[in-house]
Amino acid sequence: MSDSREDVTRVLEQIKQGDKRAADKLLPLVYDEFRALARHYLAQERADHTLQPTALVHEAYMKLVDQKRVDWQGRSHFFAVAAQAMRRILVDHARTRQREKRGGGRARVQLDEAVALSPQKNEDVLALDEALEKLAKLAPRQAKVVELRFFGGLSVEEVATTLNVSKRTIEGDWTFARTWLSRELRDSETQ
Amino acid sequence: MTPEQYNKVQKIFLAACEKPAEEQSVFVQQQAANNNEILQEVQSLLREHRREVQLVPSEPVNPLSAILSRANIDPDDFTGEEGEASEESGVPEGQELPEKAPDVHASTVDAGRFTVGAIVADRYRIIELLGRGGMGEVYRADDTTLNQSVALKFLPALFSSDEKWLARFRDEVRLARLITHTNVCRVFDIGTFQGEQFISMEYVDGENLASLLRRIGRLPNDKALQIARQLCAGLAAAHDRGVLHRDLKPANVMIDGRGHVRITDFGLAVPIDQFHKGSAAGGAGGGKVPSLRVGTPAYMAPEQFAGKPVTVRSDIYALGLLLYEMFTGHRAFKGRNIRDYLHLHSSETPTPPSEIIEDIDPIVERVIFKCLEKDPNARPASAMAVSAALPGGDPLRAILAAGETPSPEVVAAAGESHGGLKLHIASAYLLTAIIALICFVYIAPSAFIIQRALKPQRPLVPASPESAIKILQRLGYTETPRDRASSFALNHDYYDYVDKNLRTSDRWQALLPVRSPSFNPKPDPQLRFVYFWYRQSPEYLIPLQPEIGVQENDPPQLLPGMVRIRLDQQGTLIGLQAQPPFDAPSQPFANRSINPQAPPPADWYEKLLDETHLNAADLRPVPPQGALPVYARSRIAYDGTLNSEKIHVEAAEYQGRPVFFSISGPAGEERFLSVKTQRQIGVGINIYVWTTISVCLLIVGAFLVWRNYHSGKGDRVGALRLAFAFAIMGTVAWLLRAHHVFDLFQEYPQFQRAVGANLFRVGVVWIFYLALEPYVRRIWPEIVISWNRVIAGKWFDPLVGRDILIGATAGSLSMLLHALDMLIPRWLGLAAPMPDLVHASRMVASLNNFSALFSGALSAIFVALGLLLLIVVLRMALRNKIAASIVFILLVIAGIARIEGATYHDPPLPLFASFLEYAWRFDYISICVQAIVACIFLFILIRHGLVALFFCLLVRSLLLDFPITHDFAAWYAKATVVPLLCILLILLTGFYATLGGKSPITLRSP
Repeated sequence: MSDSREDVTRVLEQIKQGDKRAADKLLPLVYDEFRALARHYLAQERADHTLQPTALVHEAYMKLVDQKRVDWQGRSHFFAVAAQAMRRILVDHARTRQREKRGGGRARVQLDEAVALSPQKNEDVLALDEALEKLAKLAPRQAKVVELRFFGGLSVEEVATTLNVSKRTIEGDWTFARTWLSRELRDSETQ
Repeated sequence: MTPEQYNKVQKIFLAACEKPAEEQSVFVQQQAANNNEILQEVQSLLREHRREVQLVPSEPVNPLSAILSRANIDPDDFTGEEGEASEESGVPEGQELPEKAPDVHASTVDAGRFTVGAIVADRYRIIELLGRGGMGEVYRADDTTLNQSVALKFLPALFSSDEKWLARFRDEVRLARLITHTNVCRVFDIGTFQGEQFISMEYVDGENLASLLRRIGRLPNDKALQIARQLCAGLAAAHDRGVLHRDLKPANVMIDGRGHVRITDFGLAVPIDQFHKGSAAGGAGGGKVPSLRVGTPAYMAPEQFAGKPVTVRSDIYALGLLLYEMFTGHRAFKGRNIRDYLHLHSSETPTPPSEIIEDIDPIVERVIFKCLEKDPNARPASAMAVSAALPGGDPLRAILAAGETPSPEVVAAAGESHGGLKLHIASAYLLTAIIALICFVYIAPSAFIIQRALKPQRPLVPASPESAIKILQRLGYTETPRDRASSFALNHDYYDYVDKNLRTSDRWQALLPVRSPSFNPKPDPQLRFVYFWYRQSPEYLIPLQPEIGVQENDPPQLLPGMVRIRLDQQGTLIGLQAQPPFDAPSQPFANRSINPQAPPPADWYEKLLDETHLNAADLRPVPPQGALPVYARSRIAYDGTLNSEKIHVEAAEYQGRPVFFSISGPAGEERFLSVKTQRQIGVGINIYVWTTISVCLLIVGAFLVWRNYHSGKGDRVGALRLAFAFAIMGTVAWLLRAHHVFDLFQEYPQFQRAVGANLFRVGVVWIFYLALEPYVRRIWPEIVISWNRVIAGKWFDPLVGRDILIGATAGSLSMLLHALDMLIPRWLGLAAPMPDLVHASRMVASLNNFSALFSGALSAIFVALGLLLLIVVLRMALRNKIAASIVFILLVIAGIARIEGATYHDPPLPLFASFLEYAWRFDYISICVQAIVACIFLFILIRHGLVALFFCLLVRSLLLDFPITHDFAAWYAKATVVPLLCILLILLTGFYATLGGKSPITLRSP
């Protein structure tokens, strides 16, 4: 634990010092930790509010980053990566579930509830993921905003800091992207 | 489309969103006129946007919305069911969502206002956002000052701007802060940060009931019962403080890691009718109910929908819904919107839980349905009643286990399930009591001194006011007095003499009349142990102790013209004392003694001898002895024999009428009509010690009262009711007993003094009840269950009936023992114990006898409370039930010894000295009997409680205070009927109540 804490913090410091390659090292570090965290909670079947993505990301942050050494900028970087990791985990989770279902395996309902996503909506996560991919091609920043806000649980301010744009822009992006995704998902559902 | 084009799409789209709906399409066409692709995209998105906005109040049909709303779990909406988001607190019924709904919606998908690590109000560091709902955002935070986790709840800005609402909100928080209960989430403080209100409260590391239920479906029965009981305890604690929850629902119930329940958000659902009045009135189109309610529609009671006042029973309704959900895993009512819920709660009955869950306890089902009654008054009156009605319900234990003091209501509601007795057991008690009573009545005349001292045959000229007046007239006292008084009394001189000088088994025989079948006209000195006094006065007789009434010595024989005489039971004169009238010429003292040899036993003396039935031949003149208490012109004295006993006679005359006459009895010590001082209570140092102790006790009591009163521990209502009952009984007793005169100027001061004395007693009882009763309730609440029911006015509760019946039975049995205690030593030839002295004044059936019922009841309450406090204090001090019991029994024996050892003239000895003397003076049979009686007291008190002990003592005092006899031909038999009838009435009342009486909360009755 202290190792990964040290690692993550060091990587964040390197990023701050302008080491471009350091950013690539961050995701694997964070991803593993996230998976461990998620598994830990799922194993305990604790399904209270602390299992929201928001909480999970924040908890991981508290755990993985030495806050004395990392400033707000580093924190943004971390969250950006964390959101990505979270998205992957949720999508992987949904895929596994779908495979299990197809294979006749019983859906473990509690697990789905535990991540605050409806059991029937595995498809939703996947569909959202796909739609988000689509949106990223058309409007990459807007897609990033959704990823950060939804999977990373970041606030508007935090997203603004992370992406280094104004808060107002983020609000606009958020409204727009939501509407866009909403339409996209409906379309994919009716098809 | 390229990203650049898309940026343009977004720009136009966002700008269009700002515009009113009707202007949008024109605006978009203007902006995207040159690019059809962009135009279509924007228009499509705008359609989607409108759709998204409109679906807010109804079921989300949009998958993304569903996902998004789920991702941001709402603390007040953990059930996550569709349609819930629109039903948050404070949404007026039937109102279309206002124009600004999109903003509201958008804000619910915002992240928290504060980022992790932010410092709020210079004190709290935000750790995480716990949730968010209609009542605002909740954060977990570290209190940096105290280094503790707390939960911070930020209220929506919507509320904070309403001053009126804020004021009311602060009131609620003030109240909610007073609730200290393990099952209620503590509220610490309120504060403002950047213009927003927040509350700091206890952080509970756990899961809420809604999420738990969602996760595991229904709870196992035993777990559900456990949680239900804790819910009831927490709810009751808050209701005790006058705080209603108003928004009880699974999301507001936290369960921590150890399974302890905390109810959160107590009283925080403050109505905001003021704020929403305008909009609510505007949206009255679909609403029968224009006013705004607070609560969550799925958990609101019908009266809450109707806008009627919210009461404890509204919370009980929500509790019922919670129970339903815990036991079945399903919501009782499932609606889609507020109008559905209005209909469901007001007129539908939920599916019986037994149809959902097979193994549900039918008792639980009944309790749930009782809670869910549409009519608030049909629901259980308190959360404790619900808890008590649940299977195995013993809320008392739950509260005691939590280290709290149960409230009187809780105590009264405890043990509901084992209330009354079964018919055969009750009948057995009744039969035992009646048999004991019959036995007692049968042996009482031979066991008790008064009955034995009374001549059963009605004398030819019975002692009565009429015979006394006739004697006085014959002696020359013909003037009509203004006031008269008369009664029977005991000659304590005889009693003390026998007690001190005789040690034989038949020593009390000296006090008894010779039992001859025929009427003996000879004066029988033994008939004087119980004698009759009569006094008359030219002024009203105003006693110094109005609550006791006129006695032989009260008021003192001071006024000129006052006359008093003593008659024995046959109406023969045995004493006289008359103050000469005012007009008597003053004469020098030299005249007080005359020469015994001088001849003139004149007319007055002859008359006197006639009245006394003394034979002049048996008497020889002797010089008079001592000083006379009255003024006289001449006096004479004789010695003689009467029934082979030596007697000494003194007589005096003034103006041709006898003014003094006395026969000294066989003891040769006592002097009739000698004015002895009233019995002094405590002499020497004793009086100072007792006064000091009493004053100290009062001060300590007052201090405890102050503390208990302010902390709310004291049972104010109970103390007040007890004091009121005391005042009433004391007043009635006085009215019946006092010597009333037809002169307001004389009567009113008497009344004042009586009321004063009465109020002092009432005050003492009030103080000690408030001071010490909470400790009883805390340490030994089982003792006061039925007592609290009586205090609450449930006279005919089966449990109360049981205690009455058992107490009265125990009283009868213990009196039978007492009578045997008098008889056994006599049978064994040992020194007979001191007999009890009844109030001789009760031998004549009169109103006075009824006053004895009331004063008996008063002293029974006093003694019962005293014994209760004794055992509780002992238990607190010794921390051991058995040790406390042993000391209790020893003290009760000593106490009885002390009371019995105190004779008329001797003050009571200090407790332990009297205990030792008792052991030394009396045979051990008495001690054994007293020990058994003390054990009965203890058993009755511990096993059956205060009410039983009270009735035990009451029955004892009734049987002790009246001359009980089985000889209904005896002239005093009438007076024995009253107590016997009373006891029978008590027994039958108890019998009836324990069988037939129905308690107001008959949850468990089929």
